[in-house]
Amino acid sequence: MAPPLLEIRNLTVQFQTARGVLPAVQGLSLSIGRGEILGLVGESGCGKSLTALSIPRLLPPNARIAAGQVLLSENGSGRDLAQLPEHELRSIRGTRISMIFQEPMTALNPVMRVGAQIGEALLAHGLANKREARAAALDMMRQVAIPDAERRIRQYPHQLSGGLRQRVMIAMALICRPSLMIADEPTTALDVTIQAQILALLAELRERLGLALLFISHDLGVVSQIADRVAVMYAGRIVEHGPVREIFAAPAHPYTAGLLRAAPSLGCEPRPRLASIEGLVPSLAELPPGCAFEPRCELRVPECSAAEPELIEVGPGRWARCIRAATKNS
Amino acid sequence: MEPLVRIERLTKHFPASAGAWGSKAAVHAIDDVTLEVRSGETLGLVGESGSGKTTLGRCALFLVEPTSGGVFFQERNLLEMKRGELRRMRRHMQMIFQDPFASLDPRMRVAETLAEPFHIHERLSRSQIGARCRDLLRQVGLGEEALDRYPHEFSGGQRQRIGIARALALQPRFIVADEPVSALDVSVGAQIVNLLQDLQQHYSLTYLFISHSLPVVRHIATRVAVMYLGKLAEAGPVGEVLRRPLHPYTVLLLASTPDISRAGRREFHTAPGELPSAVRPPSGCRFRTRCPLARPRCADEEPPLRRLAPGHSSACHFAEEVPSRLTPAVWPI
Repeated sequence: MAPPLLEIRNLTVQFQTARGVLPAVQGLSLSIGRGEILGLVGESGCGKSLTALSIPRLLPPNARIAAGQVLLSENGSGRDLAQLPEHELRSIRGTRISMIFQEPMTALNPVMRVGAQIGEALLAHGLANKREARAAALDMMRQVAIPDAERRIRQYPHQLSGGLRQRVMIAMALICRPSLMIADEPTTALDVTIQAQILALLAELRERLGLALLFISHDLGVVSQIADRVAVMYAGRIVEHGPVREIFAAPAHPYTAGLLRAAPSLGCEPRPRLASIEGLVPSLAELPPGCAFEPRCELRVPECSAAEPELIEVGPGRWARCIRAATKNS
Repeated sequence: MEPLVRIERLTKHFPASAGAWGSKAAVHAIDDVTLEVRSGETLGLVGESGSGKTTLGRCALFLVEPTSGGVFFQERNLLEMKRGELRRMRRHMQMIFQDPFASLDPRMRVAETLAEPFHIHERLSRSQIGARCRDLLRQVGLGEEALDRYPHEFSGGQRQRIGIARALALQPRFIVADEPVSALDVSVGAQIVNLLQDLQQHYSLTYLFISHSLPVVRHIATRVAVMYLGKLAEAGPVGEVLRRPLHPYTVLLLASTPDISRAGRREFHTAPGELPSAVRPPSGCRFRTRCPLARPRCADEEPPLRRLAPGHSSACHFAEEVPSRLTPAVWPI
């Protein structure tokens, strides 16, 4: 079997702080196949964005990859991005792997016409001359369904609406035809009707271009709609992953189950109260000794605080980091 | 049930400099909206950015002065009150904000933040104020050790609890909650929603709950009002509006809202187009530029809000033809 497009093995990312070294991401493994959409969900501070940033090694200065491999395999050869020299990595960023972010306005250059920004990567990587870059930018703007592209190509970011700006970001990210796009909360700043347009566009681009997506979001509804597989993070760890329908229909980890009960839904009968998860996410400096979710877990037993549970297979392609999940399914 | 708050033909235009030569223009934030909030209910106010829902909430508390129209609290028009009278009225009407980071003074201890309303509205001794503050914290699920701390020492959810405690200080009857859980994580947001519901029961509060999220509004609200570009599109009992929407915009909102109950379906029902300019809104029906049912009449004639079922109104000329679900046949992308 061909290896997955991207495979992260045992990734550990640490924050250097005044209070010492904090484990922001701990022993994380995940894989994304060609043309696959993996949803990465979790609440703020769970490490989902750091995981994403560590793939192209764009971590903030106070964070570093302490261990692990980030294997990108293309054309039969695999490379470990975590070990690659910076100049080689630069040729991968934007061309093989690209990123889009929550707030396109902060990611776009306010004094540069959008057409030039979209084509810039082609010029930077020496893949086209100016005329070709402009033509490619125009073509890409049409592919991401920016109406009136001939006029828009000469406009500046502030002249565009939030939805159009995100389309410009997507066009920029796709201009060098990467095989993987990392999308970090790409629709969070958008209104729901515009969000639906962008989700439809991403799903269509995946079909049309065979693009793989790592889709990061705090919004369970959005992820449930776009992803093929879902990984749920808590306190720097993946606590559960598996196919989207199964995760949402029958979560195996108590944290996932708690999140789903806490989220209001239009599809179920009205409930008098939302189930909430009591307590707070633990600080990275004071993680509990055993399972990180144990102090908040309704199903905890004494063994939960003894040692950190491993991710165990609870069904075909389904994994959960919970000792109760193991007993439940055996 | 009698209305506690009645908003009548309310219009709010903000000045906008449109042309390079300073030609006069106005942002039509709210145009001729009539709405009532009934005593003891939660009215959900739904809409996307630019719909005017936040401005309406602020006008309802007279924090923003309307251009025209009336805001009646217990049948008395706030716009006609004298300053002193209005100030005395304010204690009955409070606000909870979206961003608990921005709405608390970072240099004030929680004790000072909570005591401020008492200094303004009541003559109490220091020990009485202290006792009231401790009681308020207990109501919102915080301990009294919070009193001596500053806002930055709390998490987002805890800060929102402090914001709620401050809103409750003077035992108001009416609270406008503007996206109170939007900035919070799911599990924390659920705690705040539950707290708001408990407080409502305990103190017979009336809420105007502003949100962009239909699932949250369905959970907490009794009735819902949907706004689009400064106009009321539809209003009615929340269950009925979501089951049988009578305005095409509500149908679009429903179809666009991702929901965990549709996991893995990968159906994106959406409509092309974006929110038109609020400086030059479309003639007639403001939604017509995105509406699949739009006909010439929609451009010529502004649709009035019509009552189509008990308590259920829609501002669509063709409300009777509105499909309750959006399918690609109705609304091709």
